[in-house]
Amino acid sequence: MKKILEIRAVLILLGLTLVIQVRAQRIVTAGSSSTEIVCRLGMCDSIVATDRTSLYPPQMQSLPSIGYRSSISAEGLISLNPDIIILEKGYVKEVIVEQLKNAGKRLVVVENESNLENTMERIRTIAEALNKKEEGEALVAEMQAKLEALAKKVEASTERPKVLCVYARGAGNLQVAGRNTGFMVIELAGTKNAVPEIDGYKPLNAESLINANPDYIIFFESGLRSLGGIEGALKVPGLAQTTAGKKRQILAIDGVKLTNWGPRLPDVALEIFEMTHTDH
Amino acid sequence: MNVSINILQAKRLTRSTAVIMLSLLLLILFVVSLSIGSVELGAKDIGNILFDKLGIVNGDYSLTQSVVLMDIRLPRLVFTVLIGASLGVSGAALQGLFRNPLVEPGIIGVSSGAALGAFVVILGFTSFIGDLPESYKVWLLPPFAFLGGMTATFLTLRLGNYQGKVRTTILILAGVAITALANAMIGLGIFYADDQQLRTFTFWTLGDLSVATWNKTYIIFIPIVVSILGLNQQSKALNAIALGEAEAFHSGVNVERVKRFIVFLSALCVGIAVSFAGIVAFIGLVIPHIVRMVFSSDHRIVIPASALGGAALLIFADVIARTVVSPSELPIGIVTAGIGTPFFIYLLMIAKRKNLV
Repeated sequence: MKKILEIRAVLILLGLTLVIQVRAQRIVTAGSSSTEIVCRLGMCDSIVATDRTSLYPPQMQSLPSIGYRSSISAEGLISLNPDIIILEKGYVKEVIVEQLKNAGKRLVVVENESNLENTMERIRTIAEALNKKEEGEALVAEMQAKLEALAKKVEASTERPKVLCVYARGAGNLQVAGRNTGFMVIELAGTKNAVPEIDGYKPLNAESLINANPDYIIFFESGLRSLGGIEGALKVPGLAQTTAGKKRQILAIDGVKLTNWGPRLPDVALEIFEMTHTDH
Repeated sequence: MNVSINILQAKRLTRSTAVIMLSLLLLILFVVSLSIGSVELGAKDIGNILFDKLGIVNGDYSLTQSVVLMDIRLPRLVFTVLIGASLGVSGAALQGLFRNPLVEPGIIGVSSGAALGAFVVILGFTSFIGDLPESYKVWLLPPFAFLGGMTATFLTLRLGNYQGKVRTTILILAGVAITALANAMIGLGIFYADDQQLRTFTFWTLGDLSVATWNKTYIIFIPIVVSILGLNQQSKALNAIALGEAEAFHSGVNVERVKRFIVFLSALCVGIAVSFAGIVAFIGLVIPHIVRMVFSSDHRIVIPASALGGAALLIFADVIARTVVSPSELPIGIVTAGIGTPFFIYLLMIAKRKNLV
């Protein structure tokens, strides 16, 4: 008799955990790095909708889109009936955050400051909110190990090429990235910014381009396409006269991966290192 | 289209019929749009929440539903009504005053002045004083935009002054000049702006009704209602001016006083509208035309009907903006311009066919 009761209790417990598992969390993310972090913590399937910048992993692209920055609305988010909403600060309007709070929605607000400590902190915050502390620590450790390995390679290399990062949206709209932009990742890759005096993004000017004389120029994949590939880029006034132009050292990297400071940071830094150093 | 031609036509509808018809339309749109949105709220839920809040019955509904209705949809709707009405009414008054069908509220410099004021907050503060928390900026933006709008209007009025009188042609040209100057300064600011600031500003120039809260609605309520009532009072004078400024003067209208009064009130309500909701295009231009075509050119009808019509059109446009790309939303300026431009082209074609331009 006692045994049967015990078995029953175990069965009920099993059933309960099953119910909890089935009633999965509904997560909505705004900001590509948060989306990738949630996925790396193993909760990818719980994401029910995300913003327009969240293109990775690819299955995110088929989810309902909550929009982009200012077009994200509180009611739209609420209608998705999420258990938890993960937002990047400054990405969604203040008044929308306020409305979501009033509606009793559970919000996790993280910051994205485009630096290493902040990335690790963001991972830990999200991991804690999702009850995935262990997975979070594992991810941080994995990334740190990769970055340390990269740092050793950088130290071993004697090359410090100058890199110019260009944010392009068609030939008439070229902006170069200076300090305090997502492009700062190039500094982890053993390269120097060709325009260290610029803060943020500034329009590209032919003479200063020649003056900066970068060894490599990095575009977003979509940006280089908008110019018409490498051939199109070489037609940008001044570009062909730089070392990068002469040697055709023009690189295209996925924009989200390059600038979102998410879990793929060590990988993209390594990728840049390998593309810009010949002695590795 | 010359306003004075139309005014001689027989009135098709009396003032009260027009106002009642449009009020009804506005009421219907108001109620219908309360129940439209990405969160599903049926008539029953809405009734339950409203009656419960009024303390009549204890309805059954969730916290989320009540927040969506009471804190998101309702303030936004009232806000939309006020913004739409102020744009419509000032467009009608200024078109009447300048006897020019192409006039829209921006002509007196108020919109670009307000845009410049907003840009000073978005960019200037960060550059000269240091980074401000986002929540401060939200509250600093409207007064600065308003100040910018009023300054630009004041300058336009001063420039338009000639031998003690406000000359309409000079006033319009002055408005063009002030607008160009403000835009040049904005352009300079855009050059120095960073990515984030640029995006905030771009969105602001397309208009945004999602920023509506009860607090903002309370703030804009009194000045906008006062402006609408004030402009409505001037409708008789506008009818006289429609026949010509000299004719109006000889029939006992203090034309100069009326001009200053109308420009000031229009600047007040448009300045407030623009400073809280950004530049919502085309309402001020198109609504007075629709009203004149449907009802009459009598300003005693055009003015109140433009206020009601502007509110109705903006509600309609906002429902589209909120729902077509749900759960996201479109900037309202895109929708109003999307509806407004084809209509405007249609108007131009009609005008050409009737040899009115």
